[in-house]
Amino acid sequence: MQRKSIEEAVRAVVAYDYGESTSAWFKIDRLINESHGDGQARSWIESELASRLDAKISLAAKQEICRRLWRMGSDQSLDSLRPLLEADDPHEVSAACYAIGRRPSALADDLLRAALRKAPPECRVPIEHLIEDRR
Amino acid sequence: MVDGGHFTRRNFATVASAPLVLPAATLGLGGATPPSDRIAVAGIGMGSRNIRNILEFMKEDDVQVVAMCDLMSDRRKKAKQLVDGHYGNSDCADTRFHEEILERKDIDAVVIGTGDRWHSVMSSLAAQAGKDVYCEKPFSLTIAEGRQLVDVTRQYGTVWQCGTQRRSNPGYKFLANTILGGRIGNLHTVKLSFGATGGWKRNSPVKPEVAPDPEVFDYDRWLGQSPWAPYSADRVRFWRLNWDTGAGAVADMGPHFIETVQWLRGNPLDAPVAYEGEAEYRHEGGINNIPYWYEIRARYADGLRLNMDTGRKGLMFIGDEGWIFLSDSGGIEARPQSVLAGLTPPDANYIIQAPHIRDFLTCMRSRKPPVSNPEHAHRAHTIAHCANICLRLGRQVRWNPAAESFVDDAEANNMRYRTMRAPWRV
Repeated sequence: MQRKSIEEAVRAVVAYDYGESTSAWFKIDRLINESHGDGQARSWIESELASRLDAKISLAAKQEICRRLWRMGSDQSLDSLRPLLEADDPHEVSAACYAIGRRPSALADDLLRAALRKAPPECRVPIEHLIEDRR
Repeated sequence: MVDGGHFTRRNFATVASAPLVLPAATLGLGGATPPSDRIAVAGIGMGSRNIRNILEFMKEDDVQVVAMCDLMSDRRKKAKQLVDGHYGNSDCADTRFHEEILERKDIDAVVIGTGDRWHSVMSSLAAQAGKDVYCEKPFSLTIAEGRQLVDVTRQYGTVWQCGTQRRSNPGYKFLANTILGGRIGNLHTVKLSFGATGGWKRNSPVKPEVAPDPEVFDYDRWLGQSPWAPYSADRVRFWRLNWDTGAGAVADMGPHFIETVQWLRGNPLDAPVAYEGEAEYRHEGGINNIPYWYEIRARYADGLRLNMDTGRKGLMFIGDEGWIFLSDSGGIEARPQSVLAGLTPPDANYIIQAPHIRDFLTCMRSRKPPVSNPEHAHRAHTIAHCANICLRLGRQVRWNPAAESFVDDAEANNMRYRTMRAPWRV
């Protein structure tokens, strides 16, 4: 799998917003499936997707990226998830929690605890629930 | 059963079976169950499916339906009218807040017919409130969610029955007895077909719209545990076609049929150890992101093959001396015809619900687990979820039933759990 094809596929989805066609996301899903067992390609896909979380993309696009990280994410994307997890928008916090899920990771546990300490009241509950579910 | 006006779990089984309970006939009720001995039931999520459930519950002499809950005002009003019409009064309460149902001490059980995303969450809230539950399937969106509900019902000691009514259908019992009687020889393959692809192939763009007044339709509550998304009438209409709000076609029908397979195998806790399959999706983009066509081939550790597909809805059991097929509309076919020689198959239409509801009500009184209890239902649902995960990953997965985890497969294991949107959780 070529890194260029991954970059092109990710470029095609980052402008996504609610109500628009999701067809480009199916291509991402295909790439993820096809890269099973190819650690290098998986790493490229994860980093391409996660790096876009930092940009000014829509909540809808962030949620879609987090859906992909939910299944194939690793500690590699935790730094990119931190701003979402520490956001003052509960929807962004929820998206980050979705991405982290119950994947075993001491770094993710640390990240969640740190975010909980900083979180405004309206953003605490999703983090608390995830910390409890991960125990 | 009433204890100072309150049906209590602690004394229910004891008192209900005590000899001091007078037969209704002696009270001049013509054999009817006295009001004090009736089980008070509320419905939560009053779409067409749960209306059917409630109609069945109202046929039971020892049930009194007392409240209707739905997030759509027209549905809850219609449901209340239906119940009031049945009893000839205006006593049935209606509300959009399930909290008002669960905090009522006079309600013994709730019948949950919400969208899939609410089943386990509502079941958990009901258990915590001390209510017994009859819950539609699929009761979980993920494997972890199902396990959590099993734990919650154990913790609170409540009776919970999955609405997989085929499990109590006389036709399914006939099917099981025929196979266990050796009439098709050694069973080697089970083929579960979940029906034509039409309904599951629908699609629609999901254009954001202004959400209705919550009093008319409480959209945010409707979303429940699902990731937030702006309101769209088609998101609501086609909720089954999206992983966020539904569990997909395999998990929609699978639990019904899979429970039968597990029952027949005599080990409801078992599960296939390997899955492979193919699926087709609506790639043009829209609400539909689930497989509308699929073929799944699973295998138990003892070699029994369990296939699932979109063929004519029904169950086919294939042995080395013949096969038997039970269609969902109730017809039974077999080859060679001698498989059915001398037997009279009963009506097996899927619509038959009374025995399943009666099993639930009986277990409410005995405090014993019903046939589709949380653990058995969870294991059947798990097989459907494993199949879905296999299709989504587009590759073979291996499953360890005892550990409830995929073997050497971190990606598949991640998909056993999904973070719920706060504040909802099991």
